[in-house]
Amino acid sequence: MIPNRHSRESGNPGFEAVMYLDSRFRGNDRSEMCSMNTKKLSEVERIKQESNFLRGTLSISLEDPITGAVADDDTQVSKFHGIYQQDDRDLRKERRQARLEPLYSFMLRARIPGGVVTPDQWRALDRLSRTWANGTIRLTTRQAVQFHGIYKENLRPLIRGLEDALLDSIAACGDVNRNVMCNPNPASDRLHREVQYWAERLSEKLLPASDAYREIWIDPERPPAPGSESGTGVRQAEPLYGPTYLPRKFKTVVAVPPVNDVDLFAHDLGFIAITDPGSTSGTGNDRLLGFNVTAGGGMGASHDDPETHPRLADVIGFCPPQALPEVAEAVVSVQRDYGNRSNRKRARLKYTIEDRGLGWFVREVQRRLRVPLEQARPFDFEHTGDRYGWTEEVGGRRHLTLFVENGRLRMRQMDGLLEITALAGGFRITANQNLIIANVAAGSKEQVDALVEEYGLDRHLRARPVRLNAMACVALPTCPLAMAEAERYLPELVDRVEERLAAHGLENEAITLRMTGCPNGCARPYLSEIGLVGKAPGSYNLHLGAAFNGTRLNRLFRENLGEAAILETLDDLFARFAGERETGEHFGDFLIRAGIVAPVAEGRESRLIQEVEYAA
Amino acid sequence: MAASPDWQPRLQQSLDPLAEQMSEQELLWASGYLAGVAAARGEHHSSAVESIPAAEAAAGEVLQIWYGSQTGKGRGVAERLAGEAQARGLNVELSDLAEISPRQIRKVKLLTLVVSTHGEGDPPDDAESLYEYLHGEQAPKLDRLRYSVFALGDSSYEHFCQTGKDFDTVLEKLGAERALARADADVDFEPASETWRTGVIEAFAEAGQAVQAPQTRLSVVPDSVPSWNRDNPWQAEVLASSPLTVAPSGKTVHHVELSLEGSGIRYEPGDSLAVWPRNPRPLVEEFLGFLELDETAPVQVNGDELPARAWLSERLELTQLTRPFLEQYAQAAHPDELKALLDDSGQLRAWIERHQVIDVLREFPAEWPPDVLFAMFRRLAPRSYSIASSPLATPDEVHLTVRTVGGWQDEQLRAGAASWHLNSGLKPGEHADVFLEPNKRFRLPDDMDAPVIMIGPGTGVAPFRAFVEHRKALGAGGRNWLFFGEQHRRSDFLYQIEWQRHLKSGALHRLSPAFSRDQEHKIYVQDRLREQGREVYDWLESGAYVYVCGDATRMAPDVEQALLDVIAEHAGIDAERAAEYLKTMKRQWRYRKDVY
Repeated sequence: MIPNRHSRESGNPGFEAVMYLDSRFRGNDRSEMCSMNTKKLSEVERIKQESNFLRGTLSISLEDPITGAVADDDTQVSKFHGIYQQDDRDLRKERRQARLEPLYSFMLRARIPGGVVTPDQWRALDRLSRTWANGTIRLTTRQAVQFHGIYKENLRPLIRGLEDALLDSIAACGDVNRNVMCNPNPASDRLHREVQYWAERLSEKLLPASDAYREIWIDPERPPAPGSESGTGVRQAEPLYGPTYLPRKFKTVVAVPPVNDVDLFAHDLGFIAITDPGSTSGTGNDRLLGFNVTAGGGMGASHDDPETHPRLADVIGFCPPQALPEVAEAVVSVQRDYGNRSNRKRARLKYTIEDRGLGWFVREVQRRLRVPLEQARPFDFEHTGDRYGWTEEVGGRRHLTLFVENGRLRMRQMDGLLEITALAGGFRITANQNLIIANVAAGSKEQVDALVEEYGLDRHLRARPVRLNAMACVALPTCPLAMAEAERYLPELVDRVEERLAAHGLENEAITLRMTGCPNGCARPYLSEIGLVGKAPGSYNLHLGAAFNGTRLNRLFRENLGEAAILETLDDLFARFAGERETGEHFGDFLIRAGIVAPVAEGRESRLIQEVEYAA
Repeated sequence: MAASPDWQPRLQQSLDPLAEQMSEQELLWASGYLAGVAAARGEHHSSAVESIPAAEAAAGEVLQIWYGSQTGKGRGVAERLAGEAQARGLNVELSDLAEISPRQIRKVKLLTLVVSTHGEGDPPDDAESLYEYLHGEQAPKLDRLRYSVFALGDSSYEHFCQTGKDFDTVLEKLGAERALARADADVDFEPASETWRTGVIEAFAEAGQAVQAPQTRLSVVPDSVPSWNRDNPWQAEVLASSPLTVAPSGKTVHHVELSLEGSGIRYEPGDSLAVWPRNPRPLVEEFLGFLELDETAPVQVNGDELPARAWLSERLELTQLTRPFLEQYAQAAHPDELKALLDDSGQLRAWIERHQVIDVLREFPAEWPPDVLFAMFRRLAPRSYSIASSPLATPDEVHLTVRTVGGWQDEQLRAGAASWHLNSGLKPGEHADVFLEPNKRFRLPDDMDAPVIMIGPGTGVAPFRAFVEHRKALGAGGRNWLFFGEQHRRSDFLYQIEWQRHLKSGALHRLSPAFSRDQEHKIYVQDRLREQGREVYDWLESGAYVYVCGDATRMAPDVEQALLDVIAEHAGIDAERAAEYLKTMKRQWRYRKDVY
């Protein structure tokens, strides 16, 4: 069924203005549409509407010599180009006293579907960071690369450098589909090539079509192409998104069981690769049958809004590989048409599904597909981590997965990786912010090992499992949303957690531990066995009881804990875990079985401290 | 004049409340004004003021006291001379060079000229036309003229007192008779001034003696020394001193706020505030240690006796080297090495900039009795800062924008005395000794609707902060355009937030910053002027006043050249006519500089 795109019939004239631009993209459910649009649109909706397909006044802002910032509205528009305006919050006070504006800089996220980059691209990323950013590279939880500390005048040269390396930052942020994730190291290389192909197809399919990116960053001198949106006002630029794009960010992943490294259930749209059960792992001949489709996952929540919460995605069916782009488009278009555009805190697909019901949602998606989704196929996930160290594939390809703490590569490590580019067939960024040196020839293995050791890239050999399974977002000092430290603080906290684990003989236990500086969930803290979500400097909410394989959310356990209280609470639980666990039982599962944490059946429960008395 | 006529108490009663509200400068002006009125009436209605003899009645020649200086020091010397000469019964006329026509000199018989020197030995703006006239082809014969020149300068510069020397020479060349040898006064000019004034009065006493009571025009110096001056500074409480620059800026610039509450000091945007420095404490300690001097040891210098520490911290110039000091020093120690240095003026200049007095003592050691050594030092002198605040925006306060000169080098402090004093020495609640130096040359236009272009790189932006605040407080309708320059936008954009607010509120209409080191090729304010030449010219054509403040050596000439180029290009005229255009602006007071 093809979405019905007839324009809206006469209705309440009061809604006309609001309805006009979205009407041709909407379905035919008039009553739904009307009720939704009686609410005032959020400010960002106005900005998108007025941005003329993501142009805003960015070109003028870039030339403004009085400030290192861009105009207020442009801070929203720039996100669609992969750029966030930030400032060094550590310096705010000093600069305010000096009558200087905040030290504005920009974070730029390069779009890297599936985290796959060539050696040449890696060299470019390295060089661009050293030349135009702060000389570090941050691997993100979405397998992208972030540059930090880019001053306004350096944005264009950096983006042109990406362009030269066949990379871009289009839609790496903003109310659009963001970087498409994909397992970068499944058991079979052939399978990787297949799923990676589809990940890239998805990425291209869901990219905004506006020419604004090229116009603003790459080629400002070139006149707009005839008939393009900026030249003639012909508004055909965004056949999928329309002029106001999506109500909120949209995240898409591809997972390859049995590894759930991408945290499949945390995303708006997911695809689980289903292979021929007769030919699983190791043989190199896995045949890709198709994908289970998942929808409605998401991490973000607000401390002060009980209507917000993380939610796990639902599995809604199965489709053959070729149907993937069409399915993606259908899901995106449902969210485009029905997502909440008045309250950004409840604008993700997860709330659209929650508010309207999963049945309605699946029907709406099916209605927009030529071939309906089939019954979902069985699958099983074991864990959410990476396969550290060397993995060798049939045919002699070798990949080395390195542990990169919180995804931050500093100068020395970058130096080492730069040397290694000569020996690698490529690099892959994992969903756990780690890095894979891919396709190393058999003869180069020792040389790579030597370089890895020389440049301190070999922490995967020494770090304890809890560190290898830990993640933090960037937080302070640059993230404007951060309420507490994360990346800068987690390493020390892990030191102390390790001590407590060791005290109970648990030092070799793999436990997922994730920390974020705010409740928005960049490091997916609600899916970790121990989740720490920042509330204020030095103060965190402690979440416990998620599944090790990413299939169950954790639950808020204690609020506003400082370090001492965190460690004390964990120490008690580690003691019980050490004494009462069953063989092979994970920490999160134990907490549930022992009744210490009540399982979260629905997302909204996750923010409720359980009523069960913890003392037993 | 009859003793205490009966109208006197009555008049005094009316004048006293008025006088009470007036600042020192206003009192000076008022006394001159009234004298002028009297003189004017004397010409036309002499019967009405028969008890006061008019100037014309004097048989003796009028001693002309002309002054030209940028900082107000010259005017101070000239005013004192006028007061003292008058007290001795001389008939004097005090004039600012800016207000006289150069050709007037042809009729003058007795002339004293007080002039300062700037930059590369250049005359101050006000003295420029007389300077050019006397050195030009139209220069008159002056064989009836007797004169003496008082030259103000700073011996840390190569062309010390050059303008005074030039005037002295050219006057003689034109046939005039030097009545008294020229005096060359250093930053610490008071001793030289006193000697010269006494000499002048002696030299001109006979010829300039008035038959009756003296009469002056325009301006006289009242008998009592006005309050809060160089010798009697106001002790201003430091309200705040905090950096305007942050790492990694190569500079330290502070915003300094001082209290004027209770001082009665009234200033206008454009004025300067002179600050008496104290030498940095670490430097004083270094001297005491190096000289192995007990801080309480009494030292006698030219008849004054003070403890060593007092000399070093409050009286002697320790942070600026001068050629005369080195010359004197060389007479007693290391003559050959120092002579080699002194003979190479290019090298000397650079050397003097990089070294302080203590470095000379360390590099060219000699046994000095403290009194001999101290006697060679120049006396500490006040430094002037362009005021960065408007009295309307922040009543009872005066703000300065102060760049710390020098700083720590290894373990030793090599900083400018005044800037260190204001930025690092004084803490809030402590007091700085200050006095006002009015600068009538650098005032906002009376026309509130006139557009204003302000060019102030670095700390040269200070008076423009005052200008913009003042015009905002006045509700002036004229447009304001600021050209600001520094090295880096992120670390040394002085008053960035304030400018952003002024732009938003409409108090500032345009801001064109030039950050020289934020891109590969350096960009300066003059480049911005050229870039926006079309609009700059349009502003000029609509009557804009142009103000330049900051570095005199390179910036001001570069800016002037840029203005000339802009005028030539956009008016479609040649360089000569562009120069005339600018000259006309100068005459109309529409092009003013406060450069140093």
